[in-house]
Amino acid sequence: MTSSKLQPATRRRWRGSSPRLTPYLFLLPVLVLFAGFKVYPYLYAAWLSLTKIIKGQTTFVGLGNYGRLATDPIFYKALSNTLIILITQVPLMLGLALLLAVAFNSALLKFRAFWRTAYFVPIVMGLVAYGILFSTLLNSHHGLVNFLLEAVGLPRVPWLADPVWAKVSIIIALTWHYTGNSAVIYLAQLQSIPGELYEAAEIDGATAWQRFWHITLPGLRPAITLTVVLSTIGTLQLFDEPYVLTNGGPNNATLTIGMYLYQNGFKYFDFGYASAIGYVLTGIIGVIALIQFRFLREKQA
Amino acid sequence: MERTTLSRPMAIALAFMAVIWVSPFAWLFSNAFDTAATGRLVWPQNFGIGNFTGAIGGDAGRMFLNSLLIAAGTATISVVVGAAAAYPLSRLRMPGKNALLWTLVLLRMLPSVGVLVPLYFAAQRSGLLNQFGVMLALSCLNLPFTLLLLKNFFDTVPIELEEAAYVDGASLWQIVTGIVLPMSRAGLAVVWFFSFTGAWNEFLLPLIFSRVEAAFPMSVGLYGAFGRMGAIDYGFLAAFSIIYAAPAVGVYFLLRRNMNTGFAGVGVKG
Repeated sequence: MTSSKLQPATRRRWRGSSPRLTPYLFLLPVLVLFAGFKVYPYLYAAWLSLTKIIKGQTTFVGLGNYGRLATDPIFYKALSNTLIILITQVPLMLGLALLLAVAFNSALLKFRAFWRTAYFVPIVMGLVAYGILFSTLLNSHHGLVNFLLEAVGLPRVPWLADPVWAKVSIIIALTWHYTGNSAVIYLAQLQSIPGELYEAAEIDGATAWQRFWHITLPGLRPAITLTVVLSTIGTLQLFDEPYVLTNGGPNNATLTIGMYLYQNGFKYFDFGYASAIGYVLTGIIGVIALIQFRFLREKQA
Repeated sequence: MERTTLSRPMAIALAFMAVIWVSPFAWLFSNAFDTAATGRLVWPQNFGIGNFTGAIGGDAGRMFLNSLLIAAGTATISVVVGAAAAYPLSRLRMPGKNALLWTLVLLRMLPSVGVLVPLYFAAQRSGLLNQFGVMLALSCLNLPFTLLLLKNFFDTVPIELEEAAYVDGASLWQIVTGIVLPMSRAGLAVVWFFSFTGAWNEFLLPLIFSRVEAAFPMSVGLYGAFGRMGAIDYGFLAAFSIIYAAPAVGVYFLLRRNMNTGFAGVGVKG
């Protein structure tokens, strides 16, 4: 925000050159884009979710789609798959990211450029590239991972073909791809914690663990809140990785809400039902994000 | 800087993690440069770049250009539209400014997969089921991030210069093009490249929007090539993946230093 002292002169400048409308003209393209690609689709989806195509005609069915959703076992399967991935993958990833950030922030870390490349390049690697990479590595018959497992005397794992291991595969791929991203956010916040705090604690005889627990963690709280909420939203929307790695299988074991929405919309062309799923998903995301914000904020105070 | 020592268990954990993180890259390179690749992690037996020439010789060349067009177009639209809006948001006290900024952030949180169907219909109706439509949709996806980042950059450009120019009789256009934009070049470049990377990697929207094969970007093409193959041609896939990943990785190395500001917004899932 600009300091208020300067405001009058600036306002005069905008007024002097053209009518008061000028700033709004500058904003117009953004507003048009948002109206066209966000607001309109959302309103249209609301209408669609109340309709069903019956004999080629879009027919108003009220809350019929939502009623169907409430008793749809596949939807509940997708919901529970998504939640299982959420509660296992997000803590795993954020824990590893925290470890990485603390290591990166330490003056003792050697080969810094190498580590950075190893952990941060996956972030910018496109979904399809890393998705295909992982589905090849995890292939049951000739994938590298099973080859290595056999080499050290462990049994082969049916990574993408078994309902449980398929979820594990998705979690591994997600973690490989996104951990560096959360680590960057933690690292930025770590650098804002004043070094004197650590020095003072050290003089007072605090152990490394105590310093981490009483200085590092509280200092990171805003970053932790941010990453928890963002990762939760991202995971609830999960679509890309299951689409590329498992296509939702085997036997719907990795079918996420996002995948189910896509299947209904673009495979079965049931646009009304897909839109209803979209609205329910939005609602779930809103409620969970709100709860997390409340919870983490309160702890902060 | 924190002065904790790297304890032994932590060092072991980090090294173990590093092996897991690096091995996919090692696999990718060893297979891409092996013209008789078998999908094993071994030193290339028939070392050569045949996989790369083969990939480029096929459809990959055209897809590369499509991706380039979509990514550069998205980045340019994002920067132009974003900068135009961010400037007044940075400089003026306007009614509804905070409400607008908050709405943008909230809209970013809404699942984009949720509006896939209506987005498709809207694009179909307005004749935007093409690469231009993809660019507009992706720009819109990026906008909250672009706008906030650019507003922060403009906030750091001292307003005194602009006021001096105004007193000297410069027009708004002259001030914007002569002072503000040149002074925020770094910020504009960061936003451009981040939007470029995001659009380059995007899969879902181009998949739905590009209905003809001639318009496929690399992400969609690579996925298609993977699905079509009966026996997996590891060398080809690895080479194709490297070609596909290269521009985004290049941008990362270009902008490493600005990572704290940017990637936080770009790499977010979904």
